[in-house]
Amino acid sequence: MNRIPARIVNIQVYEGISCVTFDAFGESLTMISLELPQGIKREKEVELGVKSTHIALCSHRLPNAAISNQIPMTIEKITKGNILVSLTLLFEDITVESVVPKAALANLSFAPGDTAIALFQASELSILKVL
Amino acid sequence: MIAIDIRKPLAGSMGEMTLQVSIEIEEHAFVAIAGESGSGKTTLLRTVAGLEKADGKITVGDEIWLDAKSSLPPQKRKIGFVFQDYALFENMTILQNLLFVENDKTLATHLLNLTSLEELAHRHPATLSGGQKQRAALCRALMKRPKLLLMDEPLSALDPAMRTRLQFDILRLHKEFGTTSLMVSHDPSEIYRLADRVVVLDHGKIIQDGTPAEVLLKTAGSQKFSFKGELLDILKRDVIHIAVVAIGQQIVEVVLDEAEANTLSIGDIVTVSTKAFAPTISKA
Repeated sequence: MNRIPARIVNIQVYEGISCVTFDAFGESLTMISLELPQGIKREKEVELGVKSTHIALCSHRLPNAAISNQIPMTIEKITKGNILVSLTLLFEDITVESVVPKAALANLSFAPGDTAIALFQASELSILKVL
Repeated sequence: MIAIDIRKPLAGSMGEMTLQVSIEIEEHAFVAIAGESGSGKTTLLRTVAGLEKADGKITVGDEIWLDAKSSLPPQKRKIGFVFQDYALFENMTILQNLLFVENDKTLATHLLNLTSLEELAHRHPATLSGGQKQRAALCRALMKRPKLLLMDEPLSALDPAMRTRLQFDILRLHKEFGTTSLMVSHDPSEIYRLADRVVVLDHGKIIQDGTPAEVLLKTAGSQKFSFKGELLDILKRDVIHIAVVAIGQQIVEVVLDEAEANTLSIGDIVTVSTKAFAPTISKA
């Protein structure tokens, strides 16, 4: 599980469904959730979690895509397997891992040092704990 | 309002302990009492029934059932008690079992109709199934129109289908008779379906008190789907790892990344969790 520190910017609740936006190193992140645990309030510092297999990658932000979270990260390491590829990414000083099918990277010439946009849906982001 | 404030020394499974319970229960509430074996659940029920002595005070409405000066005998407390093992009189028919408590044939017939036992009224308990016996025991417990219905794991000896049937019978009777019900149960689905409040005991003390959703929903942060399990194995597959985890009687697999795999050891007790958006559901 990738762990990203963030600050709660806004909380919207309707009929037990919550949409929470965060600030993480100046980037905006969005999470949808059922009822929120106690202690979740605006301005609280939290640790967010997103699984490595839920992070897709592309070379540029996608302005017309319904993907809430599009975060630029620096590729640090690429580990190729037979079917999958594991990419170690740096988001400021936080290490984030993305695991994608090898075939999905075939047309992208990613190399260490390049910037990649990490993509994940709001439903795939969790609050792991309040800091 | 029912106010229970009792203390009683107990020899529990973990040695000496004190049952110390202080709760107020609204009239007509359905309260489940949960907790590990030996935590004092049954003793609490028996103390409320007057079958066990304790220090403290029990008031039901404007009646005092227990205080420093007196203890109302069980037969004068307006209770119905349903035991796990039915406790029917084997030498009497089902109807006679009910009439022994209160000679009110109209009420007995009504109760037997509500629980679909009318055709078995003249049978003896030995000729009935476990579910039928427990329905009869439930009817008998309501013959005095009790203010308080006490049930000690009433469904634990029954198969799942019969348990579901009885849950609906209990709920129907609880509502129709307007009783306040206290039920010891270990079964989360039973508690969720029947109770509007759950009190969890541990070593004689209340450690949780809330609605079934508050008490039973195991969460990990904003993740609503959470289970504890034992890590049996970590398998390296291509560039990922697969954790094999035993949860209850099942084995599940969870994909791990390198960093996660490095922090875990086989034998660890782990929490497997995901958001409520991720799991899919279909009829088994």
